[in-house]
Amino acid sequence: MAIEHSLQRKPLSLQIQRWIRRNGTGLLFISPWLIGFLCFTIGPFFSSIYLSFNSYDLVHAPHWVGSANYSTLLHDDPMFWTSLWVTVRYAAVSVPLGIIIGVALALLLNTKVKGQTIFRTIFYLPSIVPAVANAVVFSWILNPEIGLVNGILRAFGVEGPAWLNDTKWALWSLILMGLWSVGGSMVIYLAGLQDIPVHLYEAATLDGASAYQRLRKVTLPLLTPVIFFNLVMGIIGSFQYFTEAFIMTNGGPEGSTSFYALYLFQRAWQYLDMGYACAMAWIVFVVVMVITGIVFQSQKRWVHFGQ
Amino acid sequence: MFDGSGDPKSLGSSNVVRRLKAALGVVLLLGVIAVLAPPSDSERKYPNRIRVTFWHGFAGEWQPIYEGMADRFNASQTKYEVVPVSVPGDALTMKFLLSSAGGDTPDLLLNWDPILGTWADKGLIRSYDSVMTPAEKKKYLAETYPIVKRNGMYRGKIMALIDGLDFWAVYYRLDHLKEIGLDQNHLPKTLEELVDMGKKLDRFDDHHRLRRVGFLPQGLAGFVPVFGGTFNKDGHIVVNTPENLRAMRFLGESSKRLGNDNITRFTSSLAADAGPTMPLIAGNYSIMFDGEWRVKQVAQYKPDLPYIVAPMPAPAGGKPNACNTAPNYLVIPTAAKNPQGAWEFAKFCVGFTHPEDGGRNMAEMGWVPDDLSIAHSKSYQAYLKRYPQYKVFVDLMTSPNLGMFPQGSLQKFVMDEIQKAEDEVVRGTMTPEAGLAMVEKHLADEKQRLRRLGMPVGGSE
Repeated sequence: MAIEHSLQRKPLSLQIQRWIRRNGTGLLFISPWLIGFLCFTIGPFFSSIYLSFNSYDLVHAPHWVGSANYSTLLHDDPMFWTSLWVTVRYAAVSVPLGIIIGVALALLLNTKVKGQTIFRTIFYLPSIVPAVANAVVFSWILNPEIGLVNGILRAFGVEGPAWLNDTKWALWSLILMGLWSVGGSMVIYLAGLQDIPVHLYEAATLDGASAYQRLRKVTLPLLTPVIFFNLVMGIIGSFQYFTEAFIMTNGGPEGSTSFYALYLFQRAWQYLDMGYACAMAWIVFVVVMVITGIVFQSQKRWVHFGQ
Repeated sequence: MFDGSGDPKSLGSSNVVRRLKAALGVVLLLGVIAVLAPPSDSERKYPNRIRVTFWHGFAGEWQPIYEGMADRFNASQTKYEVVPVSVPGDALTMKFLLSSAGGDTPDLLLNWDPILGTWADKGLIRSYDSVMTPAEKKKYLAETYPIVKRNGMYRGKIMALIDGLDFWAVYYRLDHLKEIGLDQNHLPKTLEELVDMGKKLDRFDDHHRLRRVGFLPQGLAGFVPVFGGTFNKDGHIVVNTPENLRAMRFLGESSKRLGNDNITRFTSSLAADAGPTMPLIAGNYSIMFDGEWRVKQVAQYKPDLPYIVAPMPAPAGGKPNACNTAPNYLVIPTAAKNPQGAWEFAKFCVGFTHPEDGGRNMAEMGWVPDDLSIAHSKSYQAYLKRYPQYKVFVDLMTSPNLGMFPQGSLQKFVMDEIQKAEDEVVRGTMTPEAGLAMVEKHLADEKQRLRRLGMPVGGSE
C-alpha cells in the first residue's frame, strides 16, 4: 500500500519519463508502423471530417460550405441513392451467401478424409489471389461467347446470359464471383469448428442425437461467435466493394453495378470533388456503424459464447 | 527508494543494451528509407544539366519510341536533360493530382484523358503563352492546323501542345467487298449507302449468331460531326441539338437491327484490339470506322492485308470529311520547376521549330503532324510514301468539319453521362430523345450543384 501511495504522489513528468524509459525501445521498433498509422490513417480520418464540410478540389485550399455537401447528397443527388441501393443489395445477398457457403465448406473440410489438408489448401488458395487477377480471370470465365461458364451451359443445351453485360445478371455475376474467395472466412470457421469440445458431441451422441441434430444443436450454436465475426467483417467489406466492379463493369451496364465506393472514387479522383467524396465516406461510415451496431445488439439473442 | 530495478551495475549494462537496441532500430529505419528513396541524380546521364522531368502514359511498344525521342533531344543540346517517367493507365492522372497537391509536379506531362478544361480552370497547368516568345506564339497561331489549335487552346490561351491528334476514317476490307461484287472504285458515297453495304456483308451462323459484322457504328462522339453536330458552342457544352439527336438515333437504329444481345456477344468474343489478331486483320468486321494508328499496325502485323481507307461519307443533311478528334495533351504544370526546359522539349516532340525532327517523331509514333511544315518535311514525306493509306488522315487535318469532345471543366462528367445515355439507347431501354434530354438535365443539375458549392463551372473552347 505504501509503495502504491508513493507512486501515486510522483509528479506526472516523472511518470511519463518512467513510462518512456520502460517502453521507449519497443515504441522505437514499431515507430515505422506508428508513424504510418498516425500520418496515413488517423490524420486523414480526422481531416476528412473537416473536408466533408468544405468544397475541396485537392489543389486549392478548402472552402467552407457547411453542410452543403451532405444536404446535396441526401436531397439532390439521385446517383448517391442509386449507388447506395446497389451496395446494400450486394451486401444483403453476398454476406449471408458467403457465410452459408463458408460454413458448409468448413464442415465438409472438417471431416476426416484422405487428402484433407490438400483440399483445405485448394479451397483457401483463391482467397490470396489478388483482386485484380481475379477480375481479369473472371472477365474471361463470364465472357458470353468464349467464357467457361457459358461453354459448360452450352454443352447442356442452355444458352447462358451475357453475365457482366446484362443488366439483370451483372450484379449477380459479381456476387457469385465473390464466393470464389470464400476460403478466407472458411479457414476461420474451420478454426472455430476445431474449438468445439469433443465431449459435447460425445454427450449428444450418447443422448441419441442424429448428425443433423448435432449440427443444429451443438455445432452451429458454438460456431456463432465466429459467424458473428465474419458477419461484421463481411458487412464492412461489402460496403467498400470496389476493385472488381472498377475493372470488370465500371458501374455498367446501365448503372446496375454502380457501387458506392465506385461513385465515391469517381467524385474524388475523376471530378476532383474531394470534399463531396469525404461527405460520402462519412455517410457510409455512419451507415456501416449503424448496421454493425444493430448486429451487435442482436448478437445477445443468437451468439453463444459458451457460457 | 524502491524503483523496481536491480543493482546499479546491472542497471548500467541494461541501459547500454537498450541504447544499442535503439541505435539498431534507427539504423534499420534509415536502411529502409534508403532502400525506398527515389534514385539520386547520380544515375542521370547528364547530371550537370538542368533536369526536366517528363511524365507520360506510354508503355509496351510505345515506351521505347517515346523515350528514344527524349534521348535524341538530350543529345541535340547541352542545357537540359529530359528524364522520362512512364506512368501507365489511370495512375497518370491520379499521380499528377497528388503531386500537384504536394507541390512537386513534373515539368511536363503527356496525357490523353479529357483533362484540359478541368486542369486549366483549376490552375493546375500553365499557359504556353508564359514560355513562348512573341515570335513563337505568332508562328504557332499562323502555322498550326486550326483543329490542333482548337484542341490545344482553352479560353483563348494555349494550354497544351498537341502531340498526336487522332482522326477517324473508314477502313474497307477489299476481299470482303469482292464477295458482294464491289471493289475500291465502288465505295459508298453516302452513309446510307455504307449502311446498306454493311448489311450485305453481315454473316450469321445457323443459330443466327453474328459471325462477321459488315459495319457496326459505335460511339456517339464519333458520329456527331458526321451528322453536322457539335458538343461545343459559343464557349459552352451543348448536348441536345437536332444534329446530335440524329446521330444518337442512328446508333440506336443500328443496334436494333442487329440486336444488342447479339452485338454484345459478338464483340465480347473478339480478340485483343491491337496486335496480329486485331478485328480488322482477323476479318471480324468488313468495314470499320477507326483511327489512324491502324495503318501502322496493319503494316506491322499483316502488310499484305487487302484494304483501303477513305473518309466517312456524309449522311443526308450531314457533312463530308467529318470525324471527331482526340488529342494527346502536352501540358506544363503550374508548379513545374523548369517550364522553359519543358517548353524546349515539347517543341522538339511536336517539331515546332525543327520540322525534320518533328516529322521523324510523328512518323515513329504513327501520328499526324501539327502543321504543314512538318507534314512537308522529308522525314514525314518518306513515311507517307511507305504508308500511302495514311494520307487520308493527313488530308482530313484541314477539313472544316472536324469535331471535338466536350470542352471545359465538366468535360469528363459530360462524357461519362453521354456514355451512359448511349448505353441505354443502344440497349433499347431509352429513346434517343430521352437519352440526350437526360444528359442535358444531369449537366444542368451538376452545374447547379457546383455553383452551390462554390466550385468553378468553367467555359469552353
